[in-house]
Amino acid sequence: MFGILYIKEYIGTKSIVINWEPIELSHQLFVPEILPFDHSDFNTQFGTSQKQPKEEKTQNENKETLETIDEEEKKRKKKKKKKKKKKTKTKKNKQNNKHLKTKNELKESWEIIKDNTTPPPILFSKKETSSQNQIFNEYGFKMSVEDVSSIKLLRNKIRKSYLIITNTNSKLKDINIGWTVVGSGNTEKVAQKKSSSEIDFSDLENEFHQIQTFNEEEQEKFLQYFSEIPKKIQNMIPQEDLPSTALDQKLLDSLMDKKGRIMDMNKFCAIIFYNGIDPKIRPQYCQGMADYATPLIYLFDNETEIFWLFKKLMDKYVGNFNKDQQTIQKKITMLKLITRKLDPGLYYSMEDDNNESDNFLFSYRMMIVLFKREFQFHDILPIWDSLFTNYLSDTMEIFYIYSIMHICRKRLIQSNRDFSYIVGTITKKIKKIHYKKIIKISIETIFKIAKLMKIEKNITKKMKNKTSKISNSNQKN
Amino acid sequence: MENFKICFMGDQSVGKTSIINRFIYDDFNINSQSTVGVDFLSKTIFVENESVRLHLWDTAGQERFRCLIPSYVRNSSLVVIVFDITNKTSFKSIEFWMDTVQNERGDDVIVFLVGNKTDLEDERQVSLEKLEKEANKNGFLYLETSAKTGHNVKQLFRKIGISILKQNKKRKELIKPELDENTSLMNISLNIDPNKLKQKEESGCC
Repeated sequence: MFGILYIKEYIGTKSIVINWEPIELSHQLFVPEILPFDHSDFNTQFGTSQKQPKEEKTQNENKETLETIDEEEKKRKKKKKKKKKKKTKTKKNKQNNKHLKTKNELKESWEIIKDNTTPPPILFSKKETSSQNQIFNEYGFKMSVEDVSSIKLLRNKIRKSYLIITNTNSKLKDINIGWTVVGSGNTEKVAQKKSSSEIDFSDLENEFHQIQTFNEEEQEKFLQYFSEIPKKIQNMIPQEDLPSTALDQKLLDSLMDKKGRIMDMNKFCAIIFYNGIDPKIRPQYCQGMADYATPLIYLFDNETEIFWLFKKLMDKYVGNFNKDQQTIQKKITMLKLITRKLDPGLYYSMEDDNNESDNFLFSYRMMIVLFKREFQFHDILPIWDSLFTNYLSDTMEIFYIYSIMHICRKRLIQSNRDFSYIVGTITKKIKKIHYKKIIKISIETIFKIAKLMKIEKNITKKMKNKTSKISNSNQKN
Repeated sequence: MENFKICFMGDQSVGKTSIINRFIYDDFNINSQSTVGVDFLSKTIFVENESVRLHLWDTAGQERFRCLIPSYVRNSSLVVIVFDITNKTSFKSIEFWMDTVQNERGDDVIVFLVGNKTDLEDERQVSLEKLEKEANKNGFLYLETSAKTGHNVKQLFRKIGISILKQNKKRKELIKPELDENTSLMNISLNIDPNKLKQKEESGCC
């Protein structure tokens, strides 16, 4: 989801209230990369020529933003509201215009800004690359935020797609600004509400007089820059209209059948892959990726959440789909090693030690799609939950497969290294196994391995000690 | 009863899985899932008063999974290369599949060429003559099927059974005399035609 950030309010010289408004673009994530403005530069660019008008009482204007906040808080805030939070016509225009802005519209919006009835529309920073900013990078834009806690707050806010706060750590007393939260050293403190009688707005009013705006030169630069943006974007977007990214219930129904399988692959690709992603980063679709996406689509309504969850999933498991198949081969060799260590009888009844037979390839599909095809749909969610925790190991699926083998042990030993027999028995048996049993056994195996490792370490230590003793005694002699 | 491994190969969305599903369950599903890695199914058929058990290996057609295919071809006694009649590129990539088979097995394997989707006769892009040419080049068997209507699918598997049995008999004949050579010379002498012996004697006289 791409949005425009714009300053909604000034509180003092250092803190600003920023509003974030979602806009539907087909290639959304390009836009912030183009913007050259630095957050810090932008702050300094405010000139000293003009002043903003004082606050007016407008209660109805904030209805939209207040929707997510509890009713009790609403009542309090309505009492406290002495400040002006103005919505302008430009805002409504933005919501209505799903497509890109033309030059004229931008100019119009700028003219309104000139009148100083509303603050300037966008601010982005590009240079910050600290780890805290990662959250914002994912959402397609960057900001400088200093506290972790405030970032968390911001993140939640972004998800609800309204109202964000900034910035700085100095000089912020316990200011209550109605429904906004001012990020500072202690956000929790700030978030605590005071009764209206305790708040002094006299300081704030004084600071409002000092609010800075653009010089004329800077205004021209700003205008020029915005006039160039639509050209740049238009070059990047294919001229045909892409299907919209919104997931309605109808769309969902048309995408999936009752078992949660995706039916129309092309539609799915258009929705998940081709909208809103840089084609360089965009992974090529590979068979099996759909299996990762279906539970997400089933669980979440919000398209942006689905997208980013899918992206996170792919970050971890995209190695499964690599052309060279190295990650999968590594995992399979891990499986082999584990079985040879813990259950050599089973291992040698399935595989030679010369690596000529590939009988362990039966686990190939389980590894790629993480048991999606093996278990029923409602069983997959807890299995995946346990996989994604990374609690005991990053590659828990290997141990799951081992425990499945352990349950089918009797039959597998009879297999005589016959691949089709192995695959047949496992596909038959796996339907009857409860997933909790698998998880239990796999945890036990992990502890077994840990024990073995400890013992081996001790043995090696003892051996080293012995050898050192021997060598010492030899030296003495 | 003997088991035979049969490997299905071809480009993606050509109809490998649906041919197999038509054969085993006599069912057709338009929205069938794409195969990941390999699917495995088996069925016994009766051909020429003999029962044969076929292990059908349904491989994934997408490029990502191609590096796995040689290991599946390794022990198979028959390979079925499927292509889509309405899709030229799938026909062109037959060469690629042949190369992968021949690299692994040489000319040891029987190969079937199957053109699927005959129910879409209006959108046909590959003619039967081309198929014949391609098959005759390499001495492959060929057929055109439709998994949707079930056209020629049963025949395909009957032919597969017949050709597998033939090959199996040939192999046994090849192997037997070598084994018997050490045990008894009598069996070999029985196999030899008296006419051929005469010819040899005549040539020996010269």
